[in-house]
Amino acid sequence: MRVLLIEDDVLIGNGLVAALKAAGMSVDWVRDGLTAQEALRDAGYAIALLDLGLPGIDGMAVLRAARRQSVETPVLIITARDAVESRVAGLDLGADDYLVKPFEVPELLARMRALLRRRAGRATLTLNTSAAVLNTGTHEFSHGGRTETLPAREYALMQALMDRPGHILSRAQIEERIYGWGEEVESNAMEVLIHSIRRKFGKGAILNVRGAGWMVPK
Amino acid sequence: MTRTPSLRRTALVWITALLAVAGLITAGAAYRYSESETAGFLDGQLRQIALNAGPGLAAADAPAAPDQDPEDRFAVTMWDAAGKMVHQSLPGMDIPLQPNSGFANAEAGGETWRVYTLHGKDQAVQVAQRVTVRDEIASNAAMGAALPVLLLIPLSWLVVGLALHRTLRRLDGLANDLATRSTLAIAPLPLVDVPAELTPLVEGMNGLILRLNAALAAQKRFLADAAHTLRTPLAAMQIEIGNLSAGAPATNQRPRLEALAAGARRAAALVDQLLRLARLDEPVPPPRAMFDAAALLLDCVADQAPLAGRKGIDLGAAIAPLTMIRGDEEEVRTLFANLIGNALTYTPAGGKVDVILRHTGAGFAAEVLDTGPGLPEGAQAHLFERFYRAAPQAAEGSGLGLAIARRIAERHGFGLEVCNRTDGVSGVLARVIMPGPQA
Repeated sequence: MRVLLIEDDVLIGNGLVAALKAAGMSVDWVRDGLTAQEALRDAGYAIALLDLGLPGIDGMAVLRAARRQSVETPVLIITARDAVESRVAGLDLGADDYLVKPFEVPELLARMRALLRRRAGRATLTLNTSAAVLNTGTHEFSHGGRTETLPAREYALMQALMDRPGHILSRAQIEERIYGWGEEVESNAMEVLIHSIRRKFGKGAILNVRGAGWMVPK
Repeated sequence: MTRTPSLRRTALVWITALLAVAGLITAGAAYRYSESETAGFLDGQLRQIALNAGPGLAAADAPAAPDQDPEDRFAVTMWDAAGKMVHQSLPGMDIPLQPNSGFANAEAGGETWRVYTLHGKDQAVQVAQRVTVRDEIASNAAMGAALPVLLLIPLSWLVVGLALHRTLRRLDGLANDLATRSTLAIAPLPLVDVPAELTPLVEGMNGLILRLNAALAAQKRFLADAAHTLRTPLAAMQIEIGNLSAGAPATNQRPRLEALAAGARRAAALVDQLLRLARLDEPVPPPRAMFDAAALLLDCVADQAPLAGRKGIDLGAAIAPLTMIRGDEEEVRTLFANLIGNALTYTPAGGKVDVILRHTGAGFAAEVLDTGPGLPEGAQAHLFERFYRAAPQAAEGSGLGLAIARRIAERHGFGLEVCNRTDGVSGVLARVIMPGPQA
């Protein structure tokens, strides 16, 4: 997999090249806006990491020009600018994600994987979080290194949660998604489902917020 | 501190004292002058009577004027050349004949008399008047001259006080303007209605305000720039630590690497919070929009649920729905996140953290309760100070979280209190009081 790294800082550039290579990617590193614009026209990159503060042409301008020229390479912005306005501006210009420096390498790799999965996921219909994958076709669920096909009710529960990772769903919201109209629901039915999933995939698969509901982390 | 006397008081004391002294001297001089003039006039009268005195009528034969006090009467006595008394206007009032012509004082009938004596060729005339009567006439005249001046003294005080008050009231306006001025106001003080003598002072203050603002802006810019610039080397450090950890075999180096990573993480978090604080110090008020605090708070709880799960803390939420408030959603998110984050940081594994949002009379109250050790003694007073940490032994925490939270609360007009729980459970209670949307 080829990755385009657009970064003017030598320290960060060297570190990232080493980290990405260690993760099994091949990296092309460019250090200024003009070269970056040239390189982005090459459609062979699976993903581009873009720093905003570049010499010559600013990162935002590089991104705008690339999207105007219909370059579809997914772009992950890595920058020291964390103001909400520049985050919004970056995403509006067509960036796929935005990571503020300093960050840790595993975080960057997870975001890159999520981005790639999101691109690919449109075909294979999977719901992804940083820690779990749910295949909506095969009903296979992966978490904590285990993959299993879920029974219908457990799948419906996980689908409800994985549709909105990072959000707490109340009991009523989940029951609405799992059970049909007029169906009698045992009072502890949900606890049984959740207990079963946690037994198979670990306690971290579903988080409980007492009094509010359940969620899966983003 | 000793207070320097006020301009108003000093001016008033000096001017009134001066007016009083000048008035008293004028009144005294008028009194003395008028008294001596009257004495001279009365002496002249005595002399005129003596020069023109004829045999006249005895007092007993002359009808007294109804309003005349017998005391006021002149005593006119005449002698012939042989020294025999030939006329006496006040019978029985024997004032001895003075040997020389001219004015003198003489005793008769237990009283002092002012006497004018005239020795002629064949007779002598002597006219006398009681000294008490003369003194009374003189002092009445002198009083009449001095009294108006004395009355003018308090009147002049009144006028001077009023004039001073009117002049200095304009200064009070200026002082009021300065006292109620926000530290964020950069507009110069108005120069209209300022007395001419004070114009240089006000202009000097305006210059100072401009320089202070520039210095303040430079300091904020420096903080933001420094934090921002620190991010790049920190990022490089974290990446290289990641590279080292990925390549390192599971040897005894791993704990060292993890400590290094934790240090870099903390430095990164600190830089993050410094930047946030620098932004919150900007005078621009947060844009005001309506949003649902309940949804936001639940979101913040969800954000921290994974951390609670990892630490083995039972996280609970009791959030009343539909609590619309006015403010900047991102800032309020930071406020809530800091309070929940603090609770999770200081609560040990197996503990409980509860997040509550409820309606109050005038608005809403958001509360975060933990089951940690609570605030140590003496911490309460310093909680909101920058870089203060109530429990430095906890590895996490920059000491900026509550400073940021308070700043956000201030910008929104929220109340914020952090104290030990009072329900018998060990732990901290953090409460945000928010006014309703109509407030």
